[in-house]
Amino acid sequence: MRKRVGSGNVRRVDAASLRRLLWVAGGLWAFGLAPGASAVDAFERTEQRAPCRDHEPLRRPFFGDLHVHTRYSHDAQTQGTRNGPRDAYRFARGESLGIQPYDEAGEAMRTIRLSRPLDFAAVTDHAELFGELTICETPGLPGHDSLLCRLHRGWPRLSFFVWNTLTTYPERPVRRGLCGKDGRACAAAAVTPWRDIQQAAEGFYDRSDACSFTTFVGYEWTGGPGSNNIHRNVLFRNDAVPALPTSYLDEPQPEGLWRALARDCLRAGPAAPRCDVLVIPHNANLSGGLLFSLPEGAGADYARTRAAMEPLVEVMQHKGDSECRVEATGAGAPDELCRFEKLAYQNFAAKFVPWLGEEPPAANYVRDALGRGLLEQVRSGANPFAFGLVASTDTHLAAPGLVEESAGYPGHGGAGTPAASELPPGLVDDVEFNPGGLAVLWAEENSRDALFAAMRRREAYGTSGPRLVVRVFGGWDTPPSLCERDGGSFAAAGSATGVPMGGLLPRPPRAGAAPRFAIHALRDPGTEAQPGTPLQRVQIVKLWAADGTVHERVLDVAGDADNGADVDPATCTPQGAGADSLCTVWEDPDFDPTAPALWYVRVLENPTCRWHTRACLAAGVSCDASGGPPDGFAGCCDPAIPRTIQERAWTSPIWYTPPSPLVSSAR
Amino acid sequence: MDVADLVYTAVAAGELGAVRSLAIFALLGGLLFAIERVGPVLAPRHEATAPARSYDTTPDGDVRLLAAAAREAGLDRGDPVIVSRLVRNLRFLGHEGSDVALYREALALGMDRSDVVIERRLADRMAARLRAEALIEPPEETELRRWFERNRSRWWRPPAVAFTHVFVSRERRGAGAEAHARELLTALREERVDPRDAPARGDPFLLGAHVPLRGEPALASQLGRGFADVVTALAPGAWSEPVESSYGLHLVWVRERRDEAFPPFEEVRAQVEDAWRDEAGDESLHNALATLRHGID
Repeated sequence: MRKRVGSGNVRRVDAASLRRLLWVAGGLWAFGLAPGASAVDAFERTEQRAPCRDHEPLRRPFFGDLHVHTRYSHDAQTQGTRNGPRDAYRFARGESLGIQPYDEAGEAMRTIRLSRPLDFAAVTDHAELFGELTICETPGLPGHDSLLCRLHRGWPRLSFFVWNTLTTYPERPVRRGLCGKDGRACAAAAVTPWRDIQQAAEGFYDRSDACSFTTFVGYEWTGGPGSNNIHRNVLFRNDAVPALPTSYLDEPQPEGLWRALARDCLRAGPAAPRCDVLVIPHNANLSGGLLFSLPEGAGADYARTRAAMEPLVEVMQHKGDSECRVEATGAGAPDELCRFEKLAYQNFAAKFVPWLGEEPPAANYVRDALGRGLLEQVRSGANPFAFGLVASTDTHLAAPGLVEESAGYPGHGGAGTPAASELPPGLVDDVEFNPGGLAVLWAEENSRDALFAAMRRREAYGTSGPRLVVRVFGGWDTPPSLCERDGGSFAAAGSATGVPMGGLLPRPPRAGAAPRFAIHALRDPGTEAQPGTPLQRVQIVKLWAADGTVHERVLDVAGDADNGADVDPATCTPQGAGADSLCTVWEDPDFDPTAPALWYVRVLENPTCRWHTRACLAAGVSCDASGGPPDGFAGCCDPAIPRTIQERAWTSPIWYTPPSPLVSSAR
Repeated sequence: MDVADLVYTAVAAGELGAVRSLAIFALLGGLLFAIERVGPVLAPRHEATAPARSYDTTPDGDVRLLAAAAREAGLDRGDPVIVSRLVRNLRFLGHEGSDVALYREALALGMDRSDVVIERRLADRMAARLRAEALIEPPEETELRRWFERNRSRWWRPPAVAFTHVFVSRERRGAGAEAHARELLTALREERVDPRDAPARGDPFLLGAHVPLRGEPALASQLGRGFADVVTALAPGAWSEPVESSYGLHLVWVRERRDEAFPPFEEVRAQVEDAWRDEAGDESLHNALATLRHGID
């Protein structure tokens, strides 16, 4: 059995595998995709389209969802999702969408609509069963009458578990019998949904000069060895994509996925000369420590490849937050804000088989991986975990961006409470889950090339749902007065004297220099019906490597943790004031030029009610009533689930790497 | 699921470690029991739970026509789905030999002519080819233009404005924000301040003071619906009265304004062609089917 470092396991990668990775890394570096690439490079145009009339050289934030499932995902379909990629994009652009359950006439019994359209979206269906689902849903195709297909059609909930066990949990999964010899029948059948996904993305991509909406062709690589989630979303830069997606069934190791993407896209040559791709892992919190593990013997080349292929990580979504554990602290008090949207189990199997449950390991969280990346920087000379942060929904209702913590939250459509044939009584989702978050990209314009370049350079952040705006620049000579300047000057001076979020600080210009960070946050403007929540404070999370260990500090740098604002969970009425805007220029007083370090920003809103609190209030659930809460509403009275939350944003870090002589002294 | 699948699953589960494999075995055991018990009733439930959108709604008659056309075009030769189907059928009947040998034997027996599954597969492939035929030749420019005229509402564009604004923060100015904005406005007008220099007189605003040509939905998303409605209606070349946003008050100088519009054909030609091809594919298939039916008559 192969094991991986970081989860208590060690996986062996042979020399040949590493050699194969080398040319991937080499290729990526040659294309300027290395971590820390200059943040001011203009993006390259790889497609034919009208120039955007709304083009801001100093960049502006675009809000979107990079994790969306439709009926082409097995788990979504087994929960009654009938909407496809076109429905998802229509919904993202602001149109209403009918969702399950459906009545006997086939009419959707619920309708949802975004209060604000998104700027971009990517449909990322599970690629593993594209062919199998097509076969199971197409009368007459060979395999349509197989027991697995009959199970899928007749007992969708059971099918969800069986298919997961067969295709995403084994370490060496294979295609099932219905796929025919060598899986060829499923490969042939997979062409239909894959083509439809591409056509939908093309049809809804605004190539006019209005640049009103951007789509990306993508899919999810759904690996879960032993139920430990190592899922990754694969996003393509433009319409040049491989003939078929590489799924977990094709390549059951992340390294294999990267090689396949290099072969079929990055180095496809004349077959796909414009093809470009990146990978965004998610749900580290359900990975049993596997997602951020390293193969045995991984060195600088592996690290560069990984950082180039996976420049972003999804820090939060429907199935919880992966930022940090409460225990994860260095000096000082525990970071209590890590309690946000935490799942109590370390992987998905432990949710359904509680006696398998263990305390989620530190390696399940982004902060731990970011810190270990600094140690790797010292050890090998390169950082495999030099990733930025985004969030998304992981909707399985084909409903991108539906993130409001409202009583009307319709659930998820994949994991959680099913509503395929009827709406069950009670909460519409398992109470520990949530509506998910958004990805925000700082880009010059709303086009594929501009947004993709933002993802590449990690000028990106995630929010737990609200449309908070956060901008960060770090540099040695960042003007202390930057907060007194308007946004244009803030950005111009910030980028002239430093790097934006996601960037790598240049060498210190002089002995004794300390980095300065300009941070400006703006609350969600909200809508007339639902005004945005005021901001409470801005924090800097600093990690640095010294003496062979990772050190951590969480500091409030703007706003006020004791601003007196709160929310009454009995009514969900907010109390107290907060800020529209918070801005600061903070200089690190403890900077050590010999220690690799990173800083990322966390912005917190005032407390508000969680979705389930609003749903419980709307249903009139009383936890004091004799006999307990009504059927399906037990979650309303679960003391382990906080009734209020502090919505937030997490920015990509800014890194500092000491010049080589200094690194030597840090070892 | 066949026995091999179950054995494979058991082996795979065994690789996952003792505790997990125990759990997965327990789960699989339960599932197997459930499958055996409910297997016979699975098929009838299919009708009630099948998705409303089937991939195949072609009437049987059309399937036969399309399949015959597919054979004529040679689409049946070497099709992996057909090969797999024929080989499996012969193996089920107890025949032995390589896949190639069994495939040839099935063809010699004419099994490919009497199989409804193969008929449907061929029909699907032929339909895809007929749709694709519409895509081979680009449409005539005049035809594309006419089609665009008929469908131009698809490319409606909202109004957009490019503007410079001076921000007055309600957070900084409190109750005095309105009065401060009016004072600023008076000064801007009386001193004929160049709009490029004006933002420095206001409060800092993260999203910038000089906004390029931005559509109404994007403005509403950034600054609030009320702000977007007012600003997209302002005339260019003058300082506006204070306009309320989600964050405070703004004195706005519109540099350029575009009314809502339907873009000219040339500007959206690529998208128009894409949409045209989608529709032309449907039409091509429809016409081809009509021809095939006519041939039978």
